[in-house]
Amino acid sequence: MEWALLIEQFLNGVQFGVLLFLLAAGLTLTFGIMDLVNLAHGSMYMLGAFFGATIFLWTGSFILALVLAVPIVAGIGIITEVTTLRTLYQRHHLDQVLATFGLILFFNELVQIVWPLEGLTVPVPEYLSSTVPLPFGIEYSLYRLMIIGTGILLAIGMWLLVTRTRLGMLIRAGASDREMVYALGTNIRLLFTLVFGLGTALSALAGVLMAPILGANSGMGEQIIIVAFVVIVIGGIGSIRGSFIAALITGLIDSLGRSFLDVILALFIPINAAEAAAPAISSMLIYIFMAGILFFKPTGLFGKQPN
Amino acid sequence: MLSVQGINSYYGLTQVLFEMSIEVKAGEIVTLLGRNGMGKTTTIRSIMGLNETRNGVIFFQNQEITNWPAFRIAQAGLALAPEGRRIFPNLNVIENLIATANNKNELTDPWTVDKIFALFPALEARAGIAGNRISGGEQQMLSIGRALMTNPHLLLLDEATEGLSPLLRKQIWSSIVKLKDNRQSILLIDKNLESLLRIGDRHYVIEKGHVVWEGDSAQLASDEELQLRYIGLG
Ligand SMILES: Nc1ncnc2c1ncn2[C@@H]1O[C@H](COP(=O)(O)OP(=O)(O)OP(=O)(O)O)[C@@H](O)[C@H]1O
Ligand SMILES: [Mg+2]
Repeated sequence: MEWALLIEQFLNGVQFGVLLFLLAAGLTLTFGIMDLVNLAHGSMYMLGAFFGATIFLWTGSFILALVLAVPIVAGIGIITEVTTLRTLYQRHHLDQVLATFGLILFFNELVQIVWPLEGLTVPVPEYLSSTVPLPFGIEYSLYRLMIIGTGILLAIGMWLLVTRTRLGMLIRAGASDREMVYALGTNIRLLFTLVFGLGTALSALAGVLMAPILGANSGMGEQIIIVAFVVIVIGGIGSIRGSFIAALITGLIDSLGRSFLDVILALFIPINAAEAAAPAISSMLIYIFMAGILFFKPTGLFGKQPN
Repeated sequence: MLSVQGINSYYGLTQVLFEMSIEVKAGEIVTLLGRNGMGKTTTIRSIMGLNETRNGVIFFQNQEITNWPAFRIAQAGLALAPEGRRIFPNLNVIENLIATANNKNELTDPWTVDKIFALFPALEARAGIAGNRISGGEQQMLSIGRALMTNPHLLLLDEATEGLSPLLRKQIWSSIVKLKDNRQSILLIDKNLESLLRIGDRHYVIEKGHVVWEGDSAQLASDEELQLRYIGLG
């Protein structure tokens, strides 16, 4: 096997995993604490990409794009929470799915009205556009390495927030007994709004970071949000640690599966059959993995047991 | 301090409280007595703002708090140690104490984790253990401690010793006596009449959602027929 390709695909998998974590973190908190299924979480990722790309194109500063786009989109998320989502907390999951699917359509239309139909493309910022030499003669994108580093730092930050701070304690307490947190003097609506804003900010940040790689397109949130749901189910709903580990595993399975499944299958079946089957199977791999995890641990890797 | 005047409460369409009226004065320990399902818990939940009330008013510290959101009632100085304890299972003992702690009413000498440990020494050794891994008695102490950490003017304590061994009951009662000596006002529910007679100042007997008797410990102790009829203890 080629080591260089393996390592490169491994890094790609980690980078995809980190991206998934940034989306899954907000999703798992809103699902875990507010019991809200929010399909429109991916729309915040899309808005992050559009606002980030626009600000980057206008000002030429990627830092400024990050610093401005993230709070703008977090603000949009909070407005959405206060005006729309708040009324959904008491409703059934199916109602939530329908309503937030409506929000997806709304935001997709909105970006098509505001921005060009074909979306936006932006370059990688110049100072991050070089490659970094790694062992086995690999030249790996500095920009992707920066995404990996940022994601890991944010994951550590989120973990500290949830495990070490008062806010984190209230978040965890709220996930297990909302009414008690409320009865002991916490404005639970405000707490929800804060958590929602935080999740939206992470999602928007992922969008800004991915804009130079994927561009900004209407509908870009849907593909990734489905995988992010797979991640939170594998990790255990409500668990930040679970999301992080599940995101990395999912990213790696997806990336390595796409590159190496044909080679692995060829060990068992004829090579031409393996090459024919691999693409179809590799796109299903994460779902097969999720089914396997749920078979053995119905609440996910770090999910709390229902009582 | 607390004055509940003629409240009605419902679960869905079923009325559970009928013109319920009770009073707690500063520094008092007042108890609610009555058989299972008579509405003691519902009374406390209504005071706390967790059950909606119709008709009637609730005054606390000279403010009307009827149907305020529960978190604001808590911030006004009422704290609940609920039936079933409801410790946060995924938080450890110290986190359970500090997560919702506050001193909104700026009491001089507020509660600290160390003071809670002094009141309930058994908790100290369990400081880092998750809330669902400690015993029922420890959970009860933690539930009271968690409520005290909000520095309440009035503690609402529902089923103080339910399901605990005689030794643990004794520990809980002696801690409640210490709270009483500190002039902590408490509205207390329990089924152990003997201890309630000893610790409580005044008592309400509740039957089918309204008060059928009120009086002090001496009056209740001497009325055996009352005890038999409404409380089922002779
Ligand atoms: N969540 C609920 N939904 C519907 N009815 C309820 C609910 N909780 C209590 N009830 C009913 O309300 C009435 C009063 O219940 P409550 O819990 O206040 O009684 P209690 O005096 O605290 O009893 P116990 O001594 O068993 O704790 C009972 O008839 C009970 O069946
Ligand atoms: Mg009760």
